[in-house]
Amino acid sequence: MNLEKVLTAFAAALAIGLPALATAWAQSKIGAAGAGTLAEKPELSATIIVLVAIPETMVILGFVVASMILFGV
Amino acid sequence: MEFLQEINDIGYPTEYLLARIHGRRLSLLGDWDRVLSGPDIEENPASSNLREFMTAGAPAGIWESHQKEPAWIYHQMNSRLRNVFQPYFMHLELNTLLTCLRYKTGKGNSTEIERLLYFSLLSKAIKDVLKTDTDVPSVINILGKKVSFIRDHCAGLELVFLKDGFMGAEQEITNALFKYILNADTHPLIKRFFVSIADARNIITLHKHLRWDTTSSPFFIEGGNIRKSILSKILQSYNAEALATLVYKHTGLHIEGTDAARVENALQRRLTGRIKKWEREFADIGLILNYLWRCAMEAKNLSIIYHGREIDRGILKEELVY
Repeated sequence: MNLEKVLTAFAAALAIGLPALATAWAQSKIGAAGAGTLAEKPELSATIIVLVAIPETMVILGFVVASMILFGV
Repeated sequence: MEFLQEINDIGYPTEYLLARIHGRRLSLLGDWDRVLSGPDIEENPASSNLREFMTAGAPAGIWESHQKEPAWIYHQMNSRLRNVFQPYFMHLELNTLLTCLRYKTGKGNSTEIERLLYFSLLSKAIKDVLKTDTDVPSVINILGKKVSFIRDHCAGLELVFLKDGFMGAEQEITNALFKYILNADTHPLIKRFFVSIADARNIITLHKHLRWDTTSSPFFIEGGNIRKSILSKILQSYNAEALATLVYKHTGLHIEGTDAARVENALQRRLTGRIKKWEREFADIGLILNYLWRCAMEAKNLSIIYHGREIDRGILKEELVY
C-alpha cells in the first residue's frame, strides 16, 4: 500500500519535473533570442511574448498529468 | 602585455547575440547591382548600417564603422565566443597596429593615430605605446619583447627591422600571428578561415612577383594548404602556367593578363562563397564569422564605390566582392 503511494507520488513528480526542466531550458534559449530580437526590432514584442509562452504549455500539461496521477482521474 | 583588450564582463548568451546579428545583417547591403544601377551611387548606401558614416566627403567614416561593428560584437560576446573569435579579432587589430606603425614611419600626424585607435580592440598598454612613443624602433622593440605571440614566434624583431626596414618587420609580425593562430587550439572553422586567408595572400604575393618580376624575395605565410615549396618552385621556374592552374583551382579565374587586384578580388569572392557554406555547417560560429566578413566586405565595397564614383559602373562592379 505504502509502496504504491510512493510510486504514484514519484510518477507525478516525474510527470511535472521533466516538463518543467524542458520548459526552463527552452524558455532560456527563446528568452535570450527574444531579448536579442527585441533589441533590434522592438515592434516584434507581441510575437516574442507568444514565442516565450509556447514552451509553458509543456509544464502545464505536465501539471495536468501529475494531477491525474495523484487524484486517480 | 596582452594584445587585445581584456573584458571582464561575462557578456550575453549566444542566442541573444545570434538574434541581434540576424536582425543587424538585414541592414547590410546585399544587392550591389541595385546600388550600382541607382541614379546617384552615393545615395544608395544610405540604407545600410553605415548610413551614419556614409556622408559626403567622409570615406574615413566607412573604415571607422568597419572597426566599430566588430568592436560592438566583441563586447557583446560571452567568454566562450570571445575565445573562439580571438584569432579573428587579433588579425583585425593587427591591421590597425600596422597602419599606426606606418603612420609613425611616415611621421603621420598623431590625430590620425588617435582616430584609428578610438574604436580599436587593442589593449590599453599597446594603445599607450602607440600614442606616446614616437620612435618606431622603440615601439618595435617593445612589441617584440612584450607581446606574447610575437615574442614566441618571431625572435629578433628589432634586428629584422634594422636590416629589412618596416616591411620586413611587418611580414615577420604577420607570419608570427599566423603561426600562433594555426598552431593554437583554434576552433576548426576559424582555422579553416585562416588557412584560406594564408593561401590567398600567398597566391597574391606569388602573382605579383611573377607579373612584375620583382627582385626582392617573396614572403610566404606559413600554414596555408598550398605548401611553400610549391610556391617557391613556381617562382624559381617563372612558371606562369603553373600559377594560372593554381589560381584557377582556388578561384575558378583564368588569370592570363589579369592584374593582382582582380586575383585578390576573385580570391575574396571565393572565400565569401565558402564562408556562406560554412555557416550551414557551423550554425552559431558560422553565422558570426559570416556577419563579420560581410561587414568587412561591405566597408571595402563602399570604399571602392566612393572612390570610383566617376568610373564606368561595369568596371566598378567587377571590383566589388559579394
